[in-house]
Amino acid sequence: MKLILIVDDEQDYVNIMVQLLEPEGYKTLAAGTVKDALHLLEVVTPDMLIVDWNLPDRTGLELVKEVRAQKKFRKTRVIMNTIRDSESDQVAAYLEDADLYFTKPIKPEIFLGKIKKLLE
Amino acid sequence: MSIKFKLALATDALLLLALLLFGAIAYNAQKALLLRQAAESRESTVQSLAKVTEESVAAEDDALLMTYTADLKRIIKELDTAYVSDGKYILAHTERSLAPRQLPLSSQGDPVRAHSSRLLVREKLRPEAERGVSYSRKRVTVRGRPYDVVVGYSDKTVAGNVRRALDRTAATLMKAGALALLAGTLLAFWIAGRMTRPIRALLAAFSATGEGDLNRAMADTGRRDEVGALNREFNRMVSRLRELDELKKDFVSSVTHELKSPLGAIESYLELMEYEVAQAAKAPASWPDRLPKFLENISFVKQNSGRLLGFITSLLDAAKIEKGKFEVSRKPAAIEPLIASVVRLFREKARGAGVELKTEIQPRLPQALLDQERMLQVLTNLISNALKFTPGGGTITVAASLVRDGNGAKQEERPVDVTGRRALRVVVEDTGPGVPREDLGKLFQKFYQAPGSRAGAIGPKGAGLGLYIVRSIVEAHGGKAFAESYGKGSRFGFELPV
Repeated sequence: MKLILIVDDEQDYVNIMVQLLEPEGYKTLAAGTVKDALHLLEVVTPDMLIVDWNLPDRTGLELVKEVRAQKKFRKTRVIMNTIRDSESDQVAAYLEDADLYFTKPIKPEIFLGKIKKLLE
Repeated sequence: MSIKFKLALATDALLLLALLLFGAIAYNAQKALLLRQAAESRESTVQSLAKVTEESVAAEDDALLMTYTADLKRIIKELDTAYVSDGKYILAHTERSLAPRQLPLSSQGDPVRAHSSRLLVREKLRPEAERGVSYSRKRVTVRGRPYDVVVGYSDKTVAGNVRRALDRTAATLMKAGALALLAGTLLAFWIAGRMTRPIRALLAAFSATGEGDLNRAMADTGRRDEVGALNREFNRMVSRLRELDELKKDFVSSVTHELKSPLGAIESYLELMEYEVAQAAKAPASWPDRLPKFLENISFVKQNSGRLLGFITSLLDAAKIEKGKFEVSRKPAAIEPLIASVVRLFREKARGAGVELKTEIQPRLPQALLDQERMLQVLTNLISNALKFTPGGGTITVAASLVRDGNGAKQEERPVDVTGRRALRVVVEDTGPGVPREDLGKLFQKFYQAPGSRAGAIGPKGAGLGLYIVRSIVEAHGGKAFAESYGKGSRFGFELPV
């Protein structure tokens, strides 16, 4: 069973993503801050990270950077899922080796389709 | 014309005036001195001649007197006439021919004597002014006989001497003055340049700030004058502008966030529900299992639209306050039921967050003039704020009491004082992280959020309008809103007159 870590401080989005992912057979974990996410990442190695950009303590991009710097996460897929829709933000995310960039609101078909493809 | 030029010009004009004044004084003083010297010289000449007269009469040496008198003319340029007479005849005269050839005067019929006598009469009769001569006279008595000693200086010669000397003085003064003026002009420009340099620097900083560069600051030179004060005021202004700019940016980002995030959530829920319905259509048997989640999602949509509505209402309230169209309609009412209803509203949410919500209401509180709906808004804002910043395991206490001036809380613990004698005090106390003292006062400003507070907030972060609205409502009631914090936990509340 593939494990997906959702890092988002808005309970609504976590709720929606969990409702979409769990029926598809994915196991989900959620963290509301970068600090909590890093704590979880010390004990688990998820197959995918879905990271919001605006988090209360630091930016999601900084989390992506830290994850990418660690060898044990080299197979982990990283998706940015944010309300920020500017091109420069997308470029910045891809420069940090994010695999995908989703802009909120979540479109279930596209969301699930791309995640399934990434995790094949 | 630049200030530098004006200052230099003004300094120059002053310098010129001073030079002219000094020149005039020096010129007149010099003139007076020269004239006095001429008079003194005349006096000393008459003294000398008197002395020689005494000696020569005593020694019966009239040749001495005659030679001396004649020599005076050669030695003293200004001398016009000098003569000695015994009242009847001239004994000696600067004009050699006018003096008798011998003394004592033995022969009455001597033609020289007669001539001399006539001359004496003429000299005495002639008005002095007509001759342009100033006289000094002295009478000496030798062997019982009086002798008149007279010395006359030519006014014209004296005046000529004085004029020549004064001309030399004037030329010197002119040269010195021109030099002083030149040096003064250079100095004035230099000083004016130095004095206006900080003003020019300030001007440059002002125009840069006007162009939108808010990072200009004047170096604090420690000057105690107006320029130093101007620099400090400029820095204060720029830092206030920076603060406002930050506030604006914060506001834009929080408004964006507060509008976009519930809308995004609503849209995402709708997308999810659409997806769910499509899935259910494929397998109708699964619908009863999906239904509870579906209904829950609808409640989340409602929650988010409620949050959106609340935020927009706050924005509109703030706009009303700004326009001065914010009104309260006050009627006598008790505060207790209002507190009870708001606390009831939040009890469920507090329990969900693991926070204890309790009340401490003093019995028999008097009624106050309240706009009940607005007061509910105040209490809601305060309690939801407290809930936002209180972590699980914490406590929120809503207290209401009657206080007298200086009673209820120590004076220094009350940043905002109420001047009324009796006041209804409502406080919402939390066990959150507290607020730095320097930020306490700003919390009631529109759009202000204490630095780092958004990170610590639980749930929706708001746009920094809640406390601004609280303050406006409380002040419309004639009361004062206050915030207190002691590092751990904070107290927000208000006092209303009763």
